[in-house]
Amino acid sequence: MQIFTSRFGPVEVSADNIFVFPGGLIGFPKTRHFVLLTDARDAQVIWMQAIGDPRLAFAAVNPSAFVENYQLCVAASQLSPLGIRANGTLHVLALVSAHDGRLCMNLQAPVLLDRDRAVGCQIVTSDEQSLHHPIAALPVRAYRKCA
Amino acid sequence: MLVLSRHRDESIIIGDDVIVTIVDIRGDKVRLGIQAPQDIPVHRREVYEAIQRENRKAAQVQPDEMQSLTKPNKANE
Repeated sequence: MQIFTSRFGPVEVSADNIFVFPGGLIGFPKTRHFVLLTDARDAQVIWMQAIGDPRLAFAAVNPSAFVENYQLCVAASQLSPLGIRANGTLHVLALVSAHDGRLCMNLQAPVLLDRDRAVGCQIVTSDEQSLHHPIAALPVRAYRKCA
Repeated sequence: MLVLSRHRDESIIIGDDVIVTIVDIRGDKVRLGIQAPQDIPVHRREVYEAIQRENRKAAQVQPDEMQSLTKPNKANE
């Protein structure tokens, strides 16, 4: 099927590439379906595009690409509502936002994905992970826009 | 807002299955024990609200900004 997106225009989406987030994201509880798109200009950037809201999308990165020996503390109870198995393979993404002229990733509340079952959730880590972990500087023009 | 007085080790129950127990009281600090079904997330309010704000901010990021990951710029060096 084809969906329209404000950032990328029309995008062809196959049904098996749609992830279900039963609880949505924190602050976006009603948005339960996302398609994962790889950024055409940068393969390390994944866009979580909401199905049903063309303007809603989140840029995400793999934290391990920016933090050496990245580890995540999750209680098994945080995964069980999704049917995600604690011993299964999960992919971790950190959402990216702009702060004070820098791109930062959110390690305090990463997104976990079970690609086999196409389900995901955003969890709050139980250790003291950074909400704004800097990963890059923004050009000055973009900095003014976000300030 | 409903206001209830409770002693240490007393509880309140919310709905059928959320139980909040006063575990300890020391000065102006109260320790709460919360028993809730696994599909009901429980967070400290300020942590939850900070993450909400962060997610809303993240939703504003545009593809051009993400280019900064691969193209370091002179202005911030």
